[in-house]
Amino acid sequence: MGTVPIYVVLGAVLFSLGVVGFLVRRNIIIMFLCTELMFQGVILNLVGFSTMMQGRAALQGQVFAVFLIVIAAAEAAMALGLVVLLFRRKPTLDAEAWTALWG
Amino acid sequence: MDPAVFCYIGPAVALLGLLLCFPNQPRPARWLGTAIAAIGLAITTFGALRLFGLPILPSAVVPAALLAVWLAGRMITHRNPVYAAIYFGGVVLCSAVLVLVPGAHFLAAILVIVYAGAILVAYIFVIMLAQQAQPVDYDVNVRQPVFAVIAGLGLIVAVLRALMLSPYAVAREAAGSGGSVVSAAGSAAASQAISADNNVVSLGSVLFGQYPVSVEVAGVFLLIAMVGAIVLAGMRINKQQQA
Repeated sequence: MGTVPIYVVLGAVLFSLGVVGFLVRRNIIIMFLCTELMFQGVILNLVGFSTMMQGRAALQGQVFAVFLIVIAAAEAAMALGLVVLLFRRKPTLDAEAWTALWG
Repeated sequence: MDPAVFCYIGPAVALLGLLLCFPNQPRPARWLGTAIAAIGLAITTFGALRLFGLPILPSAVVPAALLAVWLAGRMITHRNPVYAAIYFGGVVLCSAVLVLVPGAHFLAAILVIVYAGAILVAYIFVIMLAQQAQPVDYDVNVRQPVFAVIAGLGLIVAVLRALMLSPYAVAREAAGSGGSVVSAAGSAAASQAISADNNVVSLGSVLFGQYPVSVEVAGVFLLIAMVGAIVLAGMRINKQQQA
């Protein structure tokens, strides 16, 4: 049997848990960790679908996943710089402390 | 009983348990939620194994997948951000195992080195920088848990439904030609990927042979992100901005 379904199901579950955590939690750092969880789901999806391909084409999904990890690293660096900046302005990690743009 | 029913009931039960596990609940409710989530996970696994015929997989896949889901659930429900980061490290290690099974050796290595090694340690540094001494209300209280769980359930059920309509749902048409052709091709590709003598060499030749410009762009992207992070974290803040 193909191994694709388990990767797709697990990717969907990890992505959904990341979405739930992002929506529910109020700590900015945990919200960013939840986006990393979503990235994990997408990486598993890419690797799972790449097992459907033959020969060199089987590596395309892995190449995509490598670039995805680059994006994740850049995103983590920017996010943590932003968190440090926000924390120096108000000593809290509460996402709801920053409501100046609410209508 | 139709295994598809398990695939709908299982995620619903598991997410109901997750709802009881959120950090705003008292301790007994969280224990109950853990039990309910475990039952839901077991139902989902049973249904998925029946529906997609997965027991022939390598033995590491199903335990690693279940452990990844469990650690991810612990991660989004734990009160302490440090523990959440550690649990996320566990998720990364599980997904490295899962990536190793189809033969993606390089990807498994950089998942451990870059994700669990670099990104996670950066998160833990910032948590330690900004962590309060005692538990704070924004780690305990949650917002809109019911709507978030319904959204997550919708996502999971949509993907499971799409898979059921695909040729991979082998249980429906056990001897159906469509399913067996696709799964045979899938297993052939998987075994070929495993027997490829060196995944790192072939991945490197694809990366630098077909996508040299993308590699350079990715390097520039990382450089820009690094400069941006340094500028952001080092910005001066005057007194009246400080609330």
